[in-house]
Amino acid sequence: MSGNPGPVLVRGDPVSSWLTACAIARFTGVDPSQVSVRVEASHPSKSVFVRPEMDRLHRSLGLDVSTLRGAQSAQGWRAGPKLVSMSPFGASLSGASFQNLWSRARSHGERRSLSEFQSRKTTPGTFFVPADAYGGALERIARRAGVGDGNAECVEPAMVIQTEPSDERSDLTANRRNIGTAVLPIQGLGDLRAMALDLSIRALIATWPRHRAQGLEQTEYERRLTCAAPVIADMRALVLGGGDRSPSLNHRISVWRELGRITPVDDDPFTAAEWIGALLQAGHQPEGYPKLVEAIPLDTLRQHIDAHASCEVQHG
Amino acid sequence: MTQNRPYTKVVVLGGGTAGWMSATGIASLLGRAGVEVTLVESEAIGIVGVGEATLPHLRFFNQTLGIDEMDFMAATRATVKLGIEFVDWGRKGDSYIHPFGDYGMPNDGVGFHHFWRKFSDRAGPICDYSLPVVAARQGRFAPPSSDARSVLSTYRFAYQFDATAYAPYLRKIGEARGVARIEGRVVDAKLSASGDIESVVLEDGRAIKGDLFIDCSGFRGLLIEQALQTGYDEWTNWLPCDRAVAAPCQHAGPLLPYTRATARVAGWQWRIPLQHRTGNGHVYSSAFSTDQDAEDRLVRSLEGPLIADPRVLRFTTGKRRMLWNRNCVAVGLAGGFLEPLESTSIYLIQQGITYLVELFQGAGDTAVARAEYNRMMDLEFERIRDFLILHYVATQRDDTPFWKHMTGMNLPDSLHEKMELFSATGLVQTYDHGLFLEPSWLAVYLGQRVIPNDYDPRVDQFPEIDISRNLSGLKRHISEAASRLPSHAEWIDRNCPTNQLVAS
Repeated sequence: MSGNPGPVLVRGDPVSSWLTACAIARFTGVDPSQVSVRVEASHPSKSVFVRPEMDRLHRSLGLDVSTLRGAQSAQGWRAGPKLVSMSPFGASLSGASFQNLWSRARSHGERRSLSEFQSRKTTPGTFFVPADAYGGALERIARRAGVGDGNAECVEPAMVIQTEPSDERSDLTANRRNIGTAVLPIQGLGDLRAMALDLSIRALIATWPRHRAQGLEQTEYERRLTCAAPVIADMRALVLGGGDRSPSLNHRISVWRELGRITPVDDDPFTAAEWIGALLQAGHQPEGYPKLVEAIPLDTLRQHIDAHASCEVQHG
Repeated sequence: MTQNRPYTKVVVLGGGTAGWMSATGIASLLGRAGVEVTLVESEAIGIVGVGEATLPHLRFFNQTLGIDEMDFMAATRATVKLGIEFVDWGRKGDSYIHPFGDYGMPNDGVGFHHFWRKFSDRAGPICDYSLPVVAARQGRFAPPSSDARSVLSTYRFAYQFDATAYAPYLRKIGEARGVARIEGRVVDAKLSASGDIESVVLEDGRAIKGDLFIDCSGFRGLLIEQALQTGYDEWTNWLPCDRAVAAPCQHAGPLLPYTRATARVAGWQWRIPLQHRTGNGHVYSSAFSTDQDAEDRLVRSLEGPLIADPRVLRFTTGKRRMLWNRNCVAVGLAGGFLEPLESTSIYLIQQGITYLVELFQGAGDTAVARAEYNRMMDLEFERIRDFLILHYVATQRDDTPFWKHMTGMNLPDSLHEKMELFSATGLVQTYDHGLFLEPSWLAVYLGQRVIPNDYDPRVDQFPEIDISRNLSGLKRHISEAASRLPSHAEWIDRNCPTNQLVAS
């Protein structure tokens, strides 16, 4: 068996820790019936916002998301008053993004706000679930795979996975991974908890210890999350406001205001619609647009915009 | 400051590949938005004609301009390119192809190369699992299938063409779409009080005014450097080759659907088969070879008689500190130079135009657009640079002073980390934005004997007998599919022979 670091302890809130344990049992080649994988679950939170990118993970774990969806429907990203929806804004035309079309129309008298063109349909795969139902389902799957309780046996863990920020000194093991909220800066953005978890679980699995890699996987794991962290921090600063903005966020805001462009950056876990929503909510309207938009006849452009005001955008 | 002025008049300086791609691209995409394009060129000034070999992206540029692909290929005497063969890079006697396509298919989220690595002692070379490599080796080609389930959909293709024919081809299209061409030699640039370029002055005294200037004047950087003194970041410490000698020759042997790059004692040599001739060149470091020695090496190795005298080009690898400075955008050689080891010259021109069209505003301060443009182009250049360096350092060669120097040099930290990680784990550090993604890094790593010590542990979840059966089945399937394709020469003869069509 390749990639067996020895006994694994996952410590944190029930959803995060059971989901992590499930992923370890499913993807890493570690067989919990042979190697101890234990969970030390703390107190559950109220609800978890599930994003579309988690669909694949759920399906591969054999988790029936339809039963979770029934627990509580949702209308996008809405738990906190300052968070935004993932639903798209209109549709592009001839290579020009919808916000650019709208900006030009606005300079010719369009009075509707850009927000009015955001689809009201819930983006498939986005919903809230009660944390106890979600965590319970994950626990059942993990236990079937042989994952045990943290207190059930006292085996010294060779790898500790921490899913919540902690001041505790537990970095004495050779292999330690902080995942989810313990490593990504989503404080105050509770809805992003599952996204942080999904990102770090994917990195954890991809960089699971090999036989002979001498710890480079841990460095790579940390690098992958370090790359995503500033982007998340920028979103957090944008949504929550206050504090100093990073140069990258200032650039992002300037590019949006002047060009109506969502700056493409590596390791961005957010969709363009999320950035647009967050920028609009923070009071940043696009004021300029690229010349390319003027190559579209104004009548065609207006018809396109009207079409997206009067009917819902279809997306799948 | 460059502000509160509508940019409606674009002046392109230079009529080579970069110049006519810029002028025709901008006129085609922004002409209806009221942008006027003027191109200034002098027939007395020769063009470098960069990039006889291209990347698949050029197909999309041509499609955007509405160019008929077969007409274009006939007019530029183009052949098909499925990848680049690298000869003698890992060790003397080695050969691999960096294909425009993937190796195998991932399984349950685990990359194919991890499965291959576990069975590498029995599975044969990884190139047997790439349709474009197998087809290239057999000298066969047909356009990719649109059926995503077919193995014939797993590759892309590019062109090997006569770059000196591309600019005239685009000129006809550009002029038909409103590009005003002015014949004349630019001798000066006049700056406004703000420091922006106000006009370029021709030898006969005419001044051509513009709002935005595209500098395609080649290495000289007549506007971006001589007028605006933008500065240049040199990368010769990592890529020390600074000369190229080029010489076309007559064909010999079958028409191959790939470019060849052969490592030499102080650099490398390209071979690019076109319909009517073979393009050849030798890139080398003047610190390790004289011009005469390089020319002799090139001429001695040609497959057929020379059809033009060898021509030496001098260059400094690097890029302008800002590709867009004030109201001037440097495109092509005026913006920077990376040796054509991976055929990236025309790609960089294309990206420069694409980002400009995406960011070009009709009015207002361009500081934000410039910052975004320069950020994106810096990424493009730097990521290609690191990938090029990889070819020189992922090698066991130390048989000449040049190769000793290359294998002993300090790498950029980012590249050192990538190589160490792959060697130990088989993990490929990649990025979302940039040219060379995981399959390209894999091609060079594995082709140059950087074989990872380990593989993804998830591979061990699959029964060995299943993996073994899948590998042999896939190899057979690819081989059979490739053998059913027509020969490259037949496909060219049937679809785009050079004596049949010309641009209209």
